[in-house]
Amino acid sequence: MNGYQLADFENVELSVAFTSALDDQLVGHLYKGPHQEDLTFAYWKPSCGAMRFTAIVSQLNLPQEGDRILQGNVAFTEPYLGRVLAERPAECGVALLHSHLGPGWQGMSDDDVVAEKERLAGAVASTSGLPLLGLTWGTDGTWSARFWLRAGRHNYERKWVSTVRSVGRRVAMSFHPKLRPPSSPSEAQVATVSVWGQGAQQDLARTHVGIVGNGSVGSIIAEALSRTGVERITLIDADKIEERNLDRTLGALRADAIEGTRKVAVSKRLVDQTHTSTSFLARAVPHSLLEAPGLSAALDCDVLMCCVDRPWPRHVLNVIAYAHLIPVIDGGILARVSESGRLLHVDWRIHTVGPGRACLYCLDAIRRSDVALDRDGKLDDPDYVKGLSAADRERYGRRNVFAFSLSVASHQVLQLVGVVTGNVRIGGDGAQTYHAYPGVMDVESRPACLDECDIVPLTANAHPNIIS
Amino acid sequence: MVIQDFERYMQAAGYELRTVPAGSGSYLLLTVLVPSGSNKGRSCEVAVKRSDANPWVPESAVHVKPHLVPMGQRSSQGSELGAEWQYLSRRFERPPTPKAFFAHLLTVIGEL
Repeated sequence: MNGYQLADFENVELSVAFTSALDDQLVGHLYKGPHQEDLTFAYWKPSCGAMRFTAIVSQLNLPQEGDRILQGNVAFTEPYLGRVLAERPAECGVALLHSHLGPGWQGMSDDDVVAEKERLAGAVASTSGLPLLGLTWGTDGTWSARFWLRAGRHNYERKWVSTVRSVGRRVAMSFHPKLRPPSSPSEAQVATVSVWGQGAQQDLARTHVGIVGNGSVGSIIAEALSRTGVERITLIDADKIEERNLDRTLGALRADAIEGTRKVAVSKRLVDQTHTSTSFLARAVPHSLLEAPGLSAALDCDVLMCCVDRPWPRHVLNVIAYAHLIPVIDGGILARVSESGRLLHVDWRIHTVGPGRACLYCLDAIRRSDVALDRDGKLDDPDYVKGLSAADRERYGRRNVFAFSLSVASHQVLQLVGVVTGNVRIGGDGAQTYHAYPGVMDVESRPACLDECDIVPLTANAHPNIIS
Repeated sequence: MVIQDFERYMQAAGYELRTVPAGSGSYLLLTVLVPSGSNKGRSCEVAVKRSDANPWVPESAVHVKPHLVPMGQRSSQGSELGAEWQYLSRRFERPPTPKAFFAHLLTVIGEL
């Protein structure tokens, strides 16, 4: 992607994301009743995945008195544009957002094209080094968006984005009607659709879900999603199947352990055989999230399922949830076993993190010292681990059985459905902790981050250097 | 917090910072006076593992030179910085700010 030339983006999917809080602020500004459009400028930062380029809209520069001309439709003035360009934060692109008076994905009028292509695209690209982003709000809350990419000297061409996602407690997605058309539910999905309806199914089907870790929980989630009708799944894991994985990895065969088949290959084989959608694409990424190909594949997704138990990758996912606006649905199992090998107690937890929700640190799902130890290789040093307290060693024990994983995977999928469809009656409304004895689920309704949390301030910063 | 925030904070407080390579990375070095405990008043070098990640998750353990306790006591062990250095294994769970992390460093060396 050198210089944001149109040709560089031929095989790149484009996308836009912002927080639901910013969405609310935008709607409050843009909606002027049934007869008046309005506009504002904003700033965005690039989030670069392997196959998707996303503009993370992070900050508005609202018009002041005299900055635009309101006559049913709306136009910005040159002084307003000059101020927006002059006040542009470093490394940010510029977006023009305006409202239309109808619902759904919006096209562009001739005046819209003149404003973006002729008046803005060149000025914004030459000032910021980033392409102009244009967005249009429809009265039903649908956002449409396009980039203006350089096609030649003084020539900028429009390329529509596939999706716009507004991320809060719900991920509200707007889909380009041709680039990401709704598919009709298949005969195989009749029972599923009868529960949550065709609209929710179409939103769920078009949401790109990444599964980080394809072991016990991740392999179960993969099949659950393919059967439920999710059309795009990215599988991320560097590990290979070993004999000791066969008691809890869905789809793994003895031959896979002998041959050392990649876990992502096993999950891909499974979902390719079990999906119910008419349009299905699973991508297997045989890399760790901590490697560049794994991280960039994660940034291609709309929602991530965290199925890893190591603190360092879970920290990275926690940061992605806020900085890149990709919510993460996390699950974890803690089985306490006595020195003699007797099961004492088992709990499992399921929670979603991202804007509007408490992060993994504030949920006490990961600890900073564990993250640093894992990152620095201490948790793989037997001598170091031997010197830890019994409680610490227990936390790193990673004990698990298939039945625990089934339960965790099930609740992670339910939380995904709730997050995507906005239906709290499916996903619940908080962080869940299940105690196997006596058999109760505790729900902490809407936990929040601590005031001094250092993760929430990362929201929408799209910083690319999360790992090194 | 990124490591540059910590560096700026320490420099504003008058500390001279150096960077030295060790193992697969590098460390930030500063010299402090031990504020309390059995080593109170001693000058001590403290090393913090560098990372340019955003956010920076500081290593909870503290590397010190010279050794402040007999090796093996008080959760101490060898450091990859060399034999003169001592690794004090500790926990730091608070949201890291420059002030809070510096307080952690002083607490670790001051409670021995």
